[in-house]
This record gives sequence, C-alpha cells and structure tokens, in this order.
Amino acid sequence: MENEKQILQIEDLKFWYTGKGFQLEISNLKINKGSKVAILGKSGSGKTTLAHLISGILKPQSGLIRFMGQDISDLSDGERRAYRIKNIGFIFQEFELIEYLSVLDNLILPYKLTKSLSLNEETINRAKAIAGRIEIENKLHKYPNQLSGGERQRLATARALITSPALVIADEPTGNLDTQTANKVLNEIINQSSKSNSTLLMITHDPRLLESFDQVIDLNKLTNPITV
Amino acid sequence: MQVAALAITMCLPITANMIVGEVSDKLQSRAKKTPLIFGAKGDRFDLTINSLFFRGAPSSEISMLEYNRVKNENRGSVVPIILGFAAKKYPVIGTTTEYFLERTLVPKSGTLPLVLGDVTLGYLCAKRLNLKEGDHILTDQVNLYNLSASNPVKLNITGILEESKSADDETLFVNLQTSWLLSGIGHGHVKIDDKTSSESILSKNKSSITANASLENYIEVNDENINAFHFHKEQENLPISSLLVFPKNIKDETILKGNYINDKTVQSIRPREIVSELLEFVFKIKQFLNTSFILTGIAASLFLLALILLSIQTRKREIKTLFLIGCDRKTLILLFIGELVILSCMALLVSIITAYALKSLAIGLII
Repeated sequence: MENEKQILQIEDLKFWYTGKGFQLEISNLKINKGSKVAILGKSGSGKTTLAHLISGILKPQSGLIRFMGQDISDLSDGERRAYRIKNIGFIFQEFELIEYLSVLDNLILPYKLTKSLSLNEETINRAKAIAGRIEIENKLHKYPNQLSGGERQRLATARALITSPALVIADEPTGNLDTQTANKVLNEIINQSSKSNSTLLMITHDPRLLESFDQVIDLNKLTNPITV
Repeated sequence: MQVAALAITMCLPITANMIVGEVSDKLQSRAKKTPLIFGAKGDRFDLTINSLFFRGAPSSEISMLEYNRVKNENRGSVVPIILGFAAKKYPVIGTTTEYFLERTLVPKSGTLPLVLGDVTLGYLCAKRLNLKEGDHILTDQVNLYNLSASNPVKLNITGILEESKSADDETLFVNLQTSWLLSGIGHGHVKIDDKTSSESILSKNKSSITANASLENYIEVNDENINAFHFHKEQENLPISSLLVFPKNIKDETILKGNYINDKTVQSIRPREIVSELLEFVFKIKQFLNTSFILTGIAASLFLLALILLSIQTRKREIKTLFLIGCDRKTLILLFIGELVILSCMALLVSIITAYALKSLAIGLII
C-alpha cells in the first residue's frame, strides 16, 4: 500500500565515474507521488548525477532505482530513453529554449523529436491551451528572444510539462536569481507542476528556497535523506 | 556565411566547366558549318574567330580581286565579309545575300540589306536596342582621333532577322557598298560643277574641279541623294576582310584549299581544324583548372569540417537539451546531417544560379 504512494524508490545505489574519484552512494530513498522534493548539495556533490540516474540517462553500477514499481536500472538504452520520454520532464537553469524555433515549436519540441509521442491536432490544441494558461498565447509565432525573462521561464516550464510527465526534474532553475525572483520562479514551477499532477524534483544549492518543498534530499549527508 | 563560402567554392568549377562546354559547342558548331575561310596571310586563329564570330577587326585585308579569283574557280558559294565597323557597340558586317542563304537566315520582318544605306538587324540587336523596321541607327565613330576617317552614317533599318541562336543574332548586316561607305572609300555630296560656289572650290582646271573641306558629305542615304554616292577606288581594289567558302563537295573543298596553299597573298584555312587546335589548348587549361578546383574543394571541405566541429562545440548545450528532452543520438546525427545537406543544397543552388549568370556574361565577352 505504501509502495503505491511512492513514485520513486532507490535502494543501495552505487555510481561512480571511472577514473574521476567520485562516488555516489544512496542506501535508501523514497519519493511520494505528487510531492515536491529538493535535492540539496554543494557543487560536485552529485545532484545532477542523481537526477541523471533517476531519469535513466546514467546507469548505476549497482543498486535499484524503481520508478512507479518498475526497476529502470535493468533497462536497455532504448528502453531507458522511452521511459524518459514518457515519464520525465526537464527544466534547465538557463531555460535552454531553442532560439531558432518559434514559441509554439519550442512548446511541442518533445513531440517533434520523438516518434513515440504522436504530434496531432489534439497536441497542438493542448499546447495552445497551456500557452493561454501561462499568458503567451498571442506570442506562439514569435521567437524566444522576443519574450521577456518571465515568459521564457514559463515557456520552459510548460515545455517540460507538455507531455504530462509523472516526474519533473528542474536542474537549478533559480541558480542565478535573487531571492525574490527565485521565489517567483519556484512558485510558477510548483504551480504548473501541481496543475499537471506531476511530482517535482528540484536540484538546488540554495537553502533559502527549502520552505516550499515537502522533502529535501541533502547529498552532503549522502545516504540519509532529511524530511522537512 | 557557410552557404556563401560553399557557393563560391562550388560556383567556380561549375562556371568554368559550363563556359568551356558552351564555348566549345558554339565554336565547333559554327566551324563545322563553314568549310573554308580565305583571308590575308597572318594569324589563323584571329582570321577564324573574326570571320566566324565577328569579334575584333582584321589586321590585314584582301581585295575584291581575290574574291573574284576564288569565285571564278566555280567550286562553291563564296561569301565576302567586311568587318571592323560597329553601331551601338554591335558589329556591322558587310556581306552579300549568299551569306543569308548559307546560314539559313531569313528576315522575321522586312528585307535583307539590298540597297546602299540599308541595314538588317540580328534578332537580339533589335530586341536589346528596341529597334524595328523603318527606324534608323547611327554607326559608331571608327576612330575618334583620326580626323580623316569617315563620319558616322545613319543607316535605314529595312529588316529584322529571325532568331538563330548564333553570333548572327548580335550582328547588324549591310551590303558591301555600305561597308565601303562606312570605311570612307565611298561618299556622297552635292554635285560639283561650274555652278558650285567658289567658296567650296579648292582648285579648278579644264578637266577637273577639286572641292575644299567646306563641302559636306551626306551622312545618310535616301531616295533623293542615293545617286550622289560614289567610290574612289577601282572595283577590284576594294577591300574585304575575308571570304567564307562553301564548296559544292569534299573534292572541291580539297582542291580549293590546295590551290591556295602556296599563295603569296591569301591563306586558306579549315575552321574546324583551327577550332580543334584552339580547343585542345582550352581543354589543357581546363584540366589544369579542374586540378586546382579539386584542391580548392578539398581545402573547402576541411574548412567546412572544422566549421561543423566548431558548431558542435558551440551548440553542446543545445545538443544536451535535445538529448534530455528525448532525442536519440541517431536523430541528433540526422539533424546535423540534415542541416549540412540543406546548407549544401542552398549553396549548390546559389552556385548554379551564379554560374549561369557568370556564364552568360562570360560567353558574351568571349565569343
């Protein structure tokens, strides 16, 4: 019963980059569906590595990563990619919008890049509805450099949620912002992911933002997640 | 930038090959249709190019005496050509009606240049100068610094030729008499007799009257003054640039050529042999150019490869984003290849368009 509540379980995970002297070890970690989780840690502590392990980009040397009941560490490269497309949405620190694509094309980019997601009329309509919700519906045919900073951030968040992923991984989206702006961005991400019923996993090194999260994983303490 | 760099690299060999191909086709086709050319002794290449394509003025001339000599052999059609004049920069060629028969040129409108002062325009001349039958055209000054040379003459356009897709399209045709008029050998003026004002007389005796420079020559030929035109040379001494000879058969061609091998004043040449000789030289240059183009191509490819690698470096974050969003490595590689293919296609398109433009320009300058 408790397992059904959890979206992610990690047990006895060990990962290291050959020849780099870095090792990430997590003995036990559980994340509940719909929760908002922060991964906290200093630079080089393995925050992004953990996000990449959870999203199936990296494969652990040992241990288990169970996503919605399925062990993803045993999947092949192709299967892990399919899993990532279906279940994970990414928000990046610099938004990483594709400047030569229009706002609409950026929004539906995951559908354009992968055959497993079918781009149809319904998808376009959903994209337009999302654009309306984040107040950029009249800028769909403009280019990212014609948007304000806030609009770019909302577009990047919307792109991560367009496929209705079960888990959204945000990689330091507030990294270079002052506290006030960082809170604004964070609230926007939390707001949008809540509306999509997605679990949010946010990588950050900024302890000022932790109030907004249900759970904090402090990689400085490695194996023992802190629950706030 | 990449498109422009690629386009220039591709454009040069394409243009060079197109120009060589077209020049060679045009030269050969015209040469094959003209079995023999007779002209004054001298550069055989100049004589061939001048007589076939009306480019440049002949360095030396023959006379109507030679024309009559060749014609009297009665071994085919002999067509005299007089070069060296121009109107609005287009060559004005003096010839006879046989020229039009041999080249199968027929007027689209009007007539051939039969009368003194008449001119028939090649198709492109008429089109570019926007002239029609009934209009006039002034010939260019032969030599601006030679005060004794003839003045420009106003010619009457009596016809426009059908398009022939040859050098004839860019030529103005007059009869031989008009050419001699242009050269200053012939002229027309008011009749000088005892009634002529003494102000126009330089000297006078019982047998002749000589007018001074105040006597003005007519600058156009019309129905009123045509009979006042005359030539100050014996018919057989009148100059011509060359003769195009169309023998009746191979035997006549061989005999005619042979008869003039050791002639002291006239040389006989087979244009197709001269053109082949010329093209052999052109093809050697083309081979050399092709080799240099291959090396340039290799250099450009390496440069392009460096640009691609640099582009991958600068777009690392974009690539990572696409990968995280769900793009597989194969699609990413295909995206880059696609980009390269689009760039190359655009460059190829630009280079072909540029090559065509350059070719048209260059062909016009070459022949």
